[in-house]
Amino acid sequence: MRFTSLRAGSARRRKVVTVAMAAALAVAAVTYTGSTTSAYADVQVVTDAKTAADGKQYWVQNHLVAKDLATQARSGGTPKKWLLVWAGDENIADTLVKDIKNLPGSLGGGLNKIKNALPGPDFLAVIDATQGSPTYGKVVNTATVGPLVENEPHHMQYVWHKGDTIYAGALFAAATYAFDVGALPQLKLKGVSLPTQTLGGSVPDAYWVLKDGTAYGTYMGGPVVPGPHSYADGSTQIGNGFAGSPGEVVRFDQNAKVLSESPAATPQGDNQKLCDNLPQLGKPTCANPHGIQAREDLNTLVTSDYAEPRNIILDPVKQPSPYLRRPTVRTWDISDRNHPKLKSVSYLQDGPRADPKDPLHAESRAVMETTVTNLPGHKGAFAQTMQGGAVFYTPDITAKEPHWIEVFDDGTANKSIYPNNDSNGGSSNGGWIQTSPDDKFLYRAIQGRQKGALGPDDPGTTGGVYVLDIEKLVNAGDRIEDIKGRIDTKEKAQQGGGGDLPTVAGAAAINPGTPGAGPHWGAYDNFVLGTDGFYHETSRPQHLAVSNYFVARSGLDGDHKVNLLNLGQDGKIAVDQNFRDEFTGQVGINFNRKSWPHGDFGNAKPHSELFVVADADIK
Amino acid sequence: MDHHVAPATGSSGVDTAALLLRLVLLLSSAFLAGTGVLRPLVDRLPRRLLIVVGVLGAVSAVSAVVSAFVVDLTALATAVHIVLAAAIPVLVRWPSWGRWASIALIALVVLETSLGRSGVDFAVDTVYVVGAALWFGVTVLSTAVPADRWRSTAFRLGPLALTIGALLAVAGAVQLVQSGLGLDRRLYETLFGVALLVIVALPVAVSVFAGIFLGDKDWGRIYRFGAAGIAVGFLAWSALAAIPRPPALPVPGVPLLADAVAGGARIPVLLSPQRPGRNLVHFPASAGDDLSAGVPGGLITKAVARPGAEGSWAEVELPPGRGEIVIVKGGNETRVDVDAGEDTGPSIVDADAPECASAALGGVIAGRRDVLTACPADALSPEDSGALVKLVEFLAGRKPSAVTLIGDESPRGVAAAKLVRDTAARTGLAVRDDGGPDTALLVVSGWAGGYTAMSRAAESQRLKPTHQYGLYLAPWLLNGPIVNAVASSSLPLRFDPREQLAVSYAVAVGNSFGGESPTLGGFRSWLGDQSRSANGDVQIFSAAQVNAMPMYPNEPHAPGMVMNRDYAGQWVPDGTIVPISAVLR
Repeated sequence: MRFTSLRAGSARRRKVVTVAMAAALAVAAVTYTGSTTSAYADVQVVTDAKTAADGKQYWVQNHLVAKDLATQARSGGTPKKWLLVWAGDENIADTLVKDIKNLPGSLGGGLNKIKNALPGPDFLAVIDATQGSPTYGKVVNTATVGPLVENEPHHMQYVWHKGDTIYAGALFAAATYAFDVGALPQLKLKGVSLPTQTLGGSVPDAYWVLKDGTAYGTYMGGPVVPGPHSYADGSTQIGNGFAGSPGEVVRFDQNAKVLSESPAATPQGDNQKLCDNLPQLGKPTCANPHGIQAREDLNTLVTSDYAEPRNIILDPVKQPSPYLRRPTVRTWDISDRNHPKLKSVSYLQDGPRADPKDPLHAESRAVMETTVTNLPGHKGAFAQTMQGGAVFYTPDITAKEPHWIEVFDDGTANKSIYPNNDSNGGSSNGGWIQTSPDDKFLYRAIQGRQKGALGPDDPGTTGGVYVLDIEKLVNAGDRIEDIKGRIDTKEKAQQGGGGDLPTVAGAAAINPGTPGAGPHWGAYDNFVLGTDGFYHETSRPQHLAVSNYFVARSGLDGDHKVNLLNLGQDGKIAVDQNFRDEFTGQVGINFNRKSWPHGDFGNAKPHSELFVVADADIK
Repeated sequence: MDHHVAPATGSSGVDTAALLLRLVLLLSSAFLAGTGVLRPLVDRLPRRLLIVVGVLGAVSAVSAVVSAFVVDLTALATAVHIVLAAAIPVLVRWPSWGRWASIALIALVVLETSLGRSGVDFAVDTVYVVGAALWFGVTVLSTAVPADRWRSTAFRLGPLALTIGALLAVAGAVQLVQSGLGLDRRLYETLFGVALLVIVALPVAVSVFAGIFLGDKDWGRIYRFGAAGIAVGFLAWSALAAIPRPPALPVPGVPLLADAVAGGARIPVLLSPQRPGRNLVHFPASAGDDLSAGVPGGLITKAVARPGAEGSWAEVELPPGRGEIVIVKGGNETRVDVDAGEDTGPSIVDADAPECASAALGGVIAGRRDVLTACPADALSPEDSGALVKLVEFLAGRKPSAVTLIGDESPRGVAAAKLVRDTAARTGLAVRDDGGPDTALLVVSGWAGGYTAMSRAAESQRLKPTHQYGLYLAPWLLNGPIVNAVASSSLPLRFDPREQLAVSYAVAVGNSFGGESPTLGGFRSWLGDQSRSANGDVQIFSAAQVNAMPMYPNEPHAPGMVMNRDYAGQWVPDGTIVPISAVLR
């Protein structure tokens, strides 16, 4: 049977349209790739590579978002301030899970699609941190590193000054990258140090840049080859191998070339009871330097020992010894910059809430960080403990044997951060601690106590950022005896020690109501825009940046957000509500996202950050 | 903050309710959309047809609503589906509007059918869905509307039936070819094969039927009779994604990699060497520890851990020829086809059998189907021999008081021990059997011996300074359980486990076999002929579980602090491995 058209013209038109649509559908069907378009359509890729000591090429590959850069160009001549975030790729499978089961009629099982892909590259994210900018909070470049993947990006230096190289550590790769940031938002690779160039230590942690542009880096783990290792100063230390003990301080030139390696261990070893090692060493040592800051004017370097960085589960029944976490701070004579000489090893003391049955949470445990005062009249330094949850201070780091006392317990700040917190500072999981350039304030980030950390009924605590007023303390004098006030009772641990001891000036919660989800790291914004149109360094920072990630393997993961906080001249702080994620619109830049300028690599783990300005925009 | 390791899920994991929901939703939507698209071809619709269309719309919309509770759906797509399904029964009163809504629904059904597929797969999905929907549409309309109430059109519905049938048959044939199934017994012995046959055969039968009745004046009869065949084909097509794809046919002597399903759980299985007599059945650690294996009617033995190897292992005694092995997980049983053939397999020492199986797994994952004739422990390879010489020379330079050597009775172990002793003698390095504070431990045994040696060394090192010059392993001992038995160990390797080729293999073996860790033997088999060219100069590498926070995985006072194995492609589970020496020349 055949229908003949009464209106031949109309039928022809319909036929043509039908055929055209069918053809279009066929072409679309065959060419359909099944993948969604990346959120970043126009990305300019610029690669800079260097040959490392192993003869292989290492590179940084910039992925500049043309749209955002064009917006910035149109917005006028306001120079840019950048937030650089050193972040690691997370397994892509986590991202795929959320994308697969998403249509009615789908089977929800992923149909063999949820598989691990090759790991994506780690990267430095360049985020616009210029207040008022139309691209404020946008990731305008991801500078990926290669060929190594799964570096576990960790720390950079604490603060960046004009002309400085960026030193960035790779925890698992035991490598240090050096970046040129003079032409931001684009980066160049100046060099990379491989584990074979730092045989005296392993597992790089943090960096301190000297005025000549070189840097000291702490290598927390032991000499890479077990057994004796001879250093350039003629000393020999017996180490228990890669990621073990004792660690060292490495000095790098601006291209990450190793200038010297200096042992952190003492010839006679450290306290046998307080310093455990696995495998055991003939001379026990706590020398696993993590935090590092220097006072060049005092020719003194301070490092804090955190932990033997291996995750050792050799005994299926016993917990690892709490004494694998260190209670020690070391001072070094750096009169000869290329040969730092270990001067003292100080043992922090337990405080009033220490329980002998639970040495892990005693105030002295796991001295992750240290920070020095800055003004010429001050010679003090602070140290903080991660599991101990306390802040210590010595008034004179140049002393032969510096005397450290507890000056603040994290428990005192808990309720200022979040009213529903209790006032127990134990296991506050504090990370970043930093004096303000004018020595008036002390900035501190704590992740908060995880639920159940101190017992089955422990609700945990909300983490965040707090600011201490330290003016009276740092001006009290160079001797411990000059300082009024002590943290010597549990009440003082919860309410402050009085006298010259620090008081809370400001506090802000991150992820309020969620225990243990606060930030691990932070940086202050040391730049202000002058009337001359250039950025200048300031001694009164107006912003802080913090990141919510530690190390996924430790279980202390965060929600992978980076937040900015506004900082008042009185020390009060508040989360910047304008620093929002460009995709979710929520406060804080979320590193758990599908798309990056370098591709759809999914979630990333932001460990540390710095405020940086391009050479052309700073005076 | 959810950073769990997502297991590689497969079609076999799809539950029946979700499948039934999918079939109801897709079939009702295809009937509804096909009817709506062709609605302009007829005049006013009879009341009973309006009811039919309303019922189809309701079934489709309700299925979408129920899906939202069963499967985690995109809210927008679900809403669009519900709105279209509800709107078409209303819009059929306005043919043009109804047609466009129906076209949109067809497009959505194509996407729902083809979720996650691309290229040719997506193209054939499109053809099958569109073709079937049109067929359903003509069927519904021709059943309810007499031929004299059809509007005049250029469409020739008789030949159109032949065209649709042929297109569906071609799409089915392409699907058959794309499936990877050959023309073998899997086509009629497995559900997947039968579904493929249905997908091809029914459209062919319908096409033949349409051809025979092409000249028939009642063209509606072609559609009405053919609709059943097309509908069954469409259901088979929609269900295909949920039916476990049968593994390749077992080949005697080629270790068998298969996916078994027991109690709803997918269990990767490796059978090696697949020869008459004693064989090993291996399960990855992710499959659990309540597994057993055996042959039907024979002894079922519990799969247990073996020193130095990941996962669990069970011995089975295979008879010659084709047969099955029984896999038991908990109280659930499943079977896997095997073919041991008639020839005897290679002689494999029990202690070295896991390493041999792991090596074979690499080749199987790479798609090679080589008959297993030899194991790594049968001989010391030239590349490993050279690496050991370099290692001993390196150790001599470190000047330990002696090297404590651990070997075994395998041909490789004997040759390696002799080589170490000869090289040590040449370089002035003492070799002894016991350890001391200033010795270095060097292990050249197989996996079992290596694991025992490392465990003992770890215990000694916990009590007092022992082997302070380090723990060294032969290259073939780079395997998670062995290197993670100690705080840190070192190996001479000719490749960098952090580079792309090595990481690619590590990801591949993890994906193919339940997250299993890579091994050197597996890497070499995976590389095949490339293996030699991938060999570089020797460097010493050190492995350790770097964490920056030594925590016990189940530390009671910090329940959130559990370790995540979320680093794909790592050669050392929960750890890292880095070069610690320059190239040794």
